[in-house]
Amino acid sequence: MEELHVSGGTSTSIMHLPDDCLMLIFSWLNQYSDRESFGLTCHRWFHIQNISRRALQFSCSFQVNLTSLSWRSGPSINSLHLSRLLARFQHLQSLSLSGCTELPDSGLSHLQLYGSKLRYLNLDCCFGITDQGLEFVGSGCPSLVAISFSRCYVNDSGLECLAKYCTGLLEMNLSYCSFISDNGIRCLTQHCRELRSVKISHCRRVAGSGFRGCSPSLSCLEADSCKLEMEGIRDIISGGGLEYLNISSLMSHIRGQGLAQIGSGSAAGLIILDLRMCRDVGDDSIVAISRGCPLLEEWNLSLCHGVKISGWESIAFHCGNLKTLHVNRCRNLCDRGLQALQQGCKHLAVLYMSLCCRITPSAVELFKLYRGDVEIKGEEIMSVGIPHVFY
Amino acid sequence: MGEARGRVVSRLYSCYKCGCCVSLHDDIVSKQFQSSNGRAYLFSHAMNIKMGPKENRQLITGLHIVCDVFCLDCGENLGWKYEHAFEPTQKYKEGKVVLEKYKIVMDM
Repeated sequence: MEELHVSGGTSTSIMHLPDDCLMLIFSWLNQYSDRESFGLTCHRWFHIQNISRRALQFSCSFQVNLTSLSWRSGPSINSLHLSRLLARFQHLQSLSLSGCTELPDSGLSHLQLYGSKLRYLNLDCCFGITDQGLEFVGSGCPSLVAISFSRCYVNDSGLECLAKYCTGLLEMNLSYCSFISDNGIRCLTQHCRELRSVKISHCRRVAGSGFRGCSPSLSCLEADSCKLEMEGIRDIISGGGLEYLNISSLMSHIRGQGLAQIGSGSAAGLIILDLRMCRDVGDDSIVAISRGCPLLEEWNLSLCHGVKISGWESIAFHCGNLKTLHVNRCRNLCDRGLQALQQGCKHLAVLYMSLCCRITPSAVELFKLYRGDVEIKGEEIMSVGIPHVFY
Repeated sequence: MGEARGRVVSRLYSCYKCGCCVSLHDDIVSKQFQSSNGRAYLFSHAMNIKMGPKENRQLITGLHIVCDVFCLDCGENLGWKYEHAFEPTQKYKEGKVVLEKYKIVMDM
């Protein structure tokens, strides 16, 4: 540290800089070792290092492997650890506790003191967290923007608390929360009117009716492996703003009848639709969807054995904007259907096709001849990329 | 069970996860089988399944060579198929498929 001689005889050093100048200097340090050294200099600089931290995550977050959760490489995070960490880093915006399987609800109670600036919270696989924990999160983090609590043992009451307190929520992931039902979802859609993206994969009790009257801001919904009902599908699209919809592996008795409602007009802005393994989707639903969703760019129909000639012809004729189509393992895609696709879908760029038992190699060659602009890929995409902000 | 016109259609069993039909009720040989998870049915024939590798397995009735069978669409393990039986009293099972009762649902 240099000592500068200024007129008047007083000398200045770096210690005379105010805190926000030091914070600016700290923000330019891009090596972790430099940041550590900065913090070790004196208490004041340690304090600056702490208040500059915006994100926190643990090594257990990157090792979440459900079959071997009993083996951990480091100490498991408990309530005491969390309270001291939150007291030290009081300006956190993003906190990831995923993989902290031993953390109890009382650990989240510290968020009531220190969580006011938190915007992103990840509680995936926190098996010790229940409704009480979500209540702490809600009361302590009013500016929460995105939360994920996949595989937590929470009920509708926890979800209600969270929705009432954190009305500015944009994204939520509650996949594998089997106890959540439509009542909780209804609270969520009523209170969080800016909600953009919801993931309810494998939530067995959700039939879809909770989404009735949701705001048009809801643009992305992942509801794969849910037991959706016919009215539920109508309610899901009732908001009018849906752009990305994933209802693959539909596990219900409706047998694909309700899916024609997707083409009824409320989902006219749909861009990506994933119907993988909805084996009972029939031609009438396909015709309705291809007519009613003119902006569709990607459509996954792998393992949809119910789609026959009239369905493929309808897709070819109506889906003018379709860029990517998945038809892996479709049992009823025959040469005539492939020919229809070859003659339609002017903007098609990628066709994922493999193991379609009724397609002959000569039909494939004919397709490649006439549609050299289309790339035929053999892999089966299990989950179509749906954009998320957070997770 | 049948259609309204009077044609009798066979009852189908399907994979509980994805609904892929795997067997007919008419093909049931025995309903008295046991798997590690409960009751199972012995079918003379099953369709839309893929076989796993053959292995020796000690079952309740003795040593057999079996291979696991999986649903063709979703890959769910539905049961096993007898490839070879070492005891002469168990020879009748060879080539037949056991499907676990809780893994299959009855369709119309």
